[in-house]
Amino acid sequence: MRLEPLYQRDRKQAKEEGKQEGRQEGKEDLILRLLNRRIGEINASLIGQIKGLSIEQLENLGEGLLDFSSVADLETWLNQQSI
Amino acid sequence: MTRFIHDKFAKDYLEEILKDYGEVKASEKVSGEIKEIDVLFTPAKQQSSNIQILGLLGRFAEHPAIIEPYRNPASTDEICDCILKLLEIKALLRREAKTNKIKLQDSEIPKLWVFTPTISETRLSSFGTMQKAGWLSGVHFLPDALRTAIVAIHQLPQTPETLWLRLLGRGSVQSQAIIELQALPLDHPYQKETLELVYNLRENLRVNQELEADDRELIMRLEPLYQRDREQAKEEGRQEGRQEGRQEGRQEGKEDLILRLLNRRIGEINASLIGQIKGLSIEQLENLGEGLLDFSSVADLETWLNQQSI
Repeated sequence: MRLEPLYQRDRKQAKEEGKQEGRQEGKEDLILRLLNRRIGEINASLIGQIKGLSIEQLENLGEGLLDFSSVADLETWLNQQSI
Repeated sequence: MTRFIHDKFAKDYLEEILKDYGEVKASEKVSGEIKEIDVLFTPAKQQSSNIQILGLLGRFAEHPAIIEPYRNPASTDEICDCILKLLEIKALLRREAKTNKIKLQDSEIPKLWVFTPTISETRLSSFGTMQKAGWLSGVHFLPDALRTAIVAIHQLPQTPETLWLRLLGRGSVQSQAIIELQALPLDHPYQKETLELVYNLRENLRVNQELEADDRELIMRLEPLYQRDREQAKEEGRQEGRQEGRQEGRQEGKEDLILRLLNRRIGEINASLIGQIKGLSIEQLENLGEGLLDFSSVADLETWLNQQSI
C-alpha cells in the first residue's frame, strides 16, 4: 500500500544513522567509565574533549587508557590528538 | 471514465472491512449470466459482536448479503438487474437444497443492498419502497418478498453509525466521511487500511486523463490529508528506526571496544569466548569493561564469564 513503503524506507535509513550514533555513544560511555575507574573523576572540560573525538580516536584512547595511571596521562594523550 | 476506478475502490474497501466477519466474494459470477455480483457476503457461523463497530453496514452484514455499490445514481434498470441477480441466486440455492434434500432456511437466502449516491423520490416510489421501523432514514425497503433495500447514501444522517457507508458516497458526502475517518482514534481497527485504500483511489484518479468535477474535487480535498499522513508515516519510520538503530549501535560499540581492549590486554581470544561476550547484556558488558582492567590472562576472562552464567 501507499504509506507503508515510505515508512519502511525511512525507518531503514534512520536505523543506519541511529546505529552509527549508537556505536559512538556506546564507546564514549564505556571509555568514560573505564577512565573513571582507572584515573578517577574527570572534569567537564576533559569530558567535552573526549566527546569531540572521532570513533577511531575513541578506539585508540580505549587502548591507550590501559596504560594510564593519572589524569595527566589523559591530558597528554588528548594534547597529542589536536596536533 | 473513472467509474471503474471507483467501482474497484468500493469492492476492495468492502472486502477489506467485511473479511473479518465472514466470507467475501467480489465480482461473483451468477451462473448462466454474464452479470456479476459486486460483493457477495456470507457471515461466519460464529458471529463476532465487534461487527457493531461498522454501524449500519455491520447490520447489513449480519445476514448473507449481496451488496451492489453504485458510483453514479442507480437507474431503474440497474436496480432491476440487481433484483434479478438476487432472484437467480435464490433459485440456485433452492435447487441445491432440493438436490441435497435439505430445507432451505430463510436466513440462508441473501438480502440485496443497493447503494446509490442519490435517488429521486419518484424512482423510490416506483419500487414501492417504505421506511421500516428501527432503521435509519435513507434505507428504503422494497416489499419483504423481494428481500431488497435501496440505500440512498446522501440521505443517511451524518453520524458515526453511517460513516462506513458514506465513504461510498459522492462529492461532499464522501469528502466529509473521509475527514471523519481521519479524525477517528489512531487505534481504530479499520482506519489505517481504509485510508490506504482512499489514497490508492486518489493515486489512480490522479493519473487518469478524463476526470469529472467530482473526481478533481476529491483529489484536491485529499491532498492535505494525504500529505499529512505521508509525513507522519515517514516521521514514525525515522523515529522508530533511529531508536532501534541507536540501541543496537550502543551494544555493538561496547562489544567492539571490549574485544579490542581484551586483545590488547590478554592477547587473541578464541571464537567460543567471543561468542560468549556477544551474548552478554549491556550491563554485563559494562561490568566486563571495568573488570578487564585487572585481567592479566585469558584465564581471568574465563573465570569472569563463568561467574556470569550463575
